[in-house]
Amino acid sequence: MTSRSRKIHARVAIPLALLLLQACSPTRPPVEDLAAASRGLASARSAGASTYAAAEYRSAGQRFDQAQAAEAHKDYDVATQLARESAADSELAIAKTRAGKAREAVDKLRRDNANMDRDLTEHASTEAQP
Amino acid sequence: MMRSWLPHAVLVLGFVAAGNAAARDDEYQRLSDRFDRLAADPALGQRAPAQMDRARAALAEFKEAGRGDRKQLLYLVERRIDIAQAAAQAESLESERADLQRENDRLQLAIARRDAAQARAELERQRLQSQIRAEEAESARRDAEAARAEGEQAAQAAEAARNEAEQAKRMAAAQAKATALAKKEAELEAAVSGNAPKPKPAAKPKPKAKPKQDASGG
Repeated sequence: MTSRSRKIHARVAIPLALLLLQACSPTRPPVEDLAAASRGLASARSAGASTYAAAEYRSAGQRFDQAQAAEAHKDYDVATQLARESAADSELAIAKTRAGKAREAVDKLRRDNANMDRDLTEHASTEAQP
Repeated sequence: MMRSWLPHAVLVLGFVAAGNAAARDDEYQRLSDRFDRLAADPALGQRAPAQMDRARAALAEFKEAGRGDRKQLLYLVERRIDIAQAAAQAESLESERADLQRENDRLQLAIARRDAAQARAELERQRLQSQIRAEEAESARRDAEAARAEGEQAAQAAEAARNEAEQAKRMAAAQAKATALAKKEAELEAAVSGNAPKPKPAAKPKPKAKPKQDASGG
């Protein structure tokens, strides 16, 4: 190997090694992501997601627990990913809860309106009879 | 030797890379198709614009991401599309609820008006019945008053008749007494004058004779 080729190898190898070191180094704890996931979970709970979107709410809780466990093991990348997934699950649970509540209200109003309409129609036909 | 297997290795790596890229594109295509179907949905496509934008942005990020990032993004992109769909459904249902609520208000108003009309009719019916009863009571009261007045009048007439009869009775008794006294006086006069007539047994009182006109000489 010539001295020139050694220089070339060094120029390539050193940045590569630095890059690898940076890639393998631990990221910071995902404090913000975990806090956002926790807030999302609390919002989903208070919205009633355990009733209207049980699967999504459960998934959000499980992912949040896993994120906390990963953070405890200093596996911050996994913790970040799980915290974001938990937040997305909570957001979906809230949207489904909103839809579920609206559907319930729609069904109730349909029944009420049908009853009132029938009441009015029957009364009108009773009055029309001699 | 090395030169002989190197092209093959490069070729294999090229195939593998091409296969992975194709798989990634399939994944993207699946997500993109799903999002496009949602966006084209006539009932949901125009709703929840903020969530739709976030899903669209997540999809674009997924498309541009490298292999490692894509793995992490896949779940989040799926969820973003789920969220957009659920939010659009919620919005659609809330709009329907608002329409139904307006219809509900209209029906409640119609029923309230009907009930009020019924109540007014019932009130009028009762008012008429009450008026009829009052008129009947007044008529009965007048009849009773008239009957009472008539009864009083009859009682007064009876009392007058009774009084008259009593008076006649008293007058008859007085007349009888005067007749008896006159007779007794005549007897006493006769006794005093010596021609005392033999006292006769008390005769039955005769009814008063009607005075004769020719006997009076007048």
